[in-house]
Amino acid sequence: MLTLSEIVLALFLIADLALAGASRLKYAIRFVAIQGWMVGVLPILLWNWQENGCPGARIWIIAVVNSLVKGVALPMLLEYAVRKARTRRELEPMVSFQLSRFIVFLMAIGGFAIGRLLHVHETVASELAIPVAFTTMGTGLLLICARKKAITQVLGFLVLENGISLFGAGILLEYGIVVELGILLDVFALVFILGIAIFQINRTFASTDTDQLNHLGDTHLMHPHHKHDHVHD
Amino acid sequence: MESAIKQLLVILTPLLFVANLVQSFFYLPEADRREGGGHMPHWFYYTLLFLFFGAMMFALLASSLPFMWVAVELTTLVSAPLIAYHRDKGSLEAMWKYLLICSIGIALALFGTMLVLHAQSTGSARWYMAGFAFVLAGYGTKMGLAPFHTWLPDAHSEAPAPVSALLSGALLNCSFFAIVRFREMMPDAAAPFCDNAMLALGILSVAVGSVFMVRQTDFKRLLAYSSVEHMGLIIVLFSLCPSGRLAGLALLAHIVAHSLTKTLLFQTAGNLLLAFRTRAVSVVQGLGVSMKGHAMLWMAGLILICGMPPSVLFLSELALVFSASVWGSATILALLFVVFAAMMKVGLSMTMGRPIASHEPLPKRLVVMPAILLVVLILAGIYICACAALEIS
Repeated sequence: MLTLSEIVLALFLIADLALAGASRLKYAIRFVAIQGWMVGVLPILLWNWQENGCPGARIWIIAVVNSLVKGVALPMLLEYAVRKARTRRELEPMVSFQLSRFIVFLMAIGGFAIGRLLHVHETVASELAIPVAFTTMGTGLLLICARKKAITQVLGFLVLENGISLFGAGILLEYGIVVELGILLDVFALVFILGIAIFQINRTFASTDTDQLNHLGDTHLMHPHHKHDHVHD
Repeated sequence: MESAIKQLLVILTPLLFVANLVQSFFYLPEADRREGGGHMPHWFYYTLLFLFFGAMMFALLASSLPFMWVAVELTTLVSAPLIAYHRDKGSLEAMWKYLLICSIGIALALFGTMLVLHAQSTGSARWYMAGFAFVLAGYGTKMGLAPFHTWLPDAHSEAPAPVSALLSGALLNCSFFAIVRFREMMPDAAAPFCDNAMLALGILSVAVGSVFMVRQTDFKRLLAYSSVEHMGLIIVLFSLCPSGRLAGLALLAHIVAHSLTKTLLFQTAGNLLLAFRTRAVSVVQGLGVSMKGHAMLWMAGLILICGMPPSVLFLSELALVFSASVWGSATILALLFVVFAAMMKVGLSMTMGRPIASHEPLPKRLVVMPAILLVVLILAGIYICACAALEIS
């Protein structure tokens, strides 16, 4: 039978595919926000209501805070960064949008294969949870590697984090409230600092393309005639 | 082993913090005067430095594994702005790489933590191994193990000297401790896999470090790659711990000696950068004529970090060679020889000969902290080497 949690997980997979093909940053941020909401409410949907009754205050608090931070606060922060840095869309991705979608599709197939191999379905809440978590983590890594704009890389990190949270929810892992809020605080602070870094990069380099950020390194050791001038600073 | 390393790091980290805090008081005003303009306010720098120290202690003392994860991620967050102290192009690039690469690494470590926690409830060795692989890759990124070390040379070379010293001397050890905690939890069935994985990554790190040290043109990057190399040696020593008590003792000695020597070297390198306003080995020459004190500190530091007696690192590397298998020890000895050659080439070309570039003289107080460290290291080295010699005879 199709339960509500399975519908949400299927939507998660669709959001992964949409993210891989999203060129406008505004829409990409919205897809990540929707994923954030779904990660937030998933522990409640996966809760075994028949056997355990109504979930305790801990679950509710974490669900609400998670949805608010990942679904509202972080997307607002990123939209602000997009406006300030005046970058509307990802124009020249290193991997084309069509190919990215195809890669995510392949990763989904791989995720289901791994889920079957690991024999996890006895211990997890929903059979879909682990494959979708793997696909989402893969999508996040793909966005970080295959896109140039600094903001898209931050989005990729958030998608990776969503995938990991989804995995935690899928295997019904419970850390306790302080740790979960601590993890959330870390993610929030990280995105905040990355946002500030984007402003500074935009001001200093007059661009948010990360291929501007490749002056440090040791490539001149291999080609001694093309020394970078960065050593003299 | 876990509690011994924990006790050691809980004592060592505050010492390193104080040494670099004092050096910051001397270093920052000079750096501001010479670099001019766009740096972060000092109150902000010192706040972040204290938070950085707090986060490292939190990581060492955290009771549970997820808590430790929160703390290690916190160390990334508060140390990243410190790297971009001067807010120029290079330091911004280094900060961005540090934040992004370490955060991805740490995210994978969180995934590994989840796998291990799940393994504890199911008890399957396969889940333990999968978890440890992710933890090793994740915390290994933060620790600077090859091939995940790419952020390290950039961050260490762009950060102001006291921050570089803290990153290299204290932060890398904290990430190492995270790996130690996970290794101690592994059941016997997963243990050989974990030790072999650590041995392989360790030898790869020593190899990558030594390859990039040869023909290195930037003396701060040279020190950064030396950190990659020593983190490799530390993880190799740790993977050898189950084989005997010697490797365990050597591991503890190596951690302390590396942290103190690297602090000495980074502080000296920072002073040279202030005096010559460049990190190019080709420009900074003839220190023996122009800056006698710094020439001595720099050359002595390089000799100590290479593991020449009376350095404590000599004993720990000797113990490593005795504990490892024949092939392992032969590989490491060959790589250490390459490191020695690369270090001495840079050290000699910088200290010997005639100066080719003019420099601004430095105030005497900048030499105080590295000089204290050098005296401590040499005295401790002579004492420990003598004890070991008596023990053997």
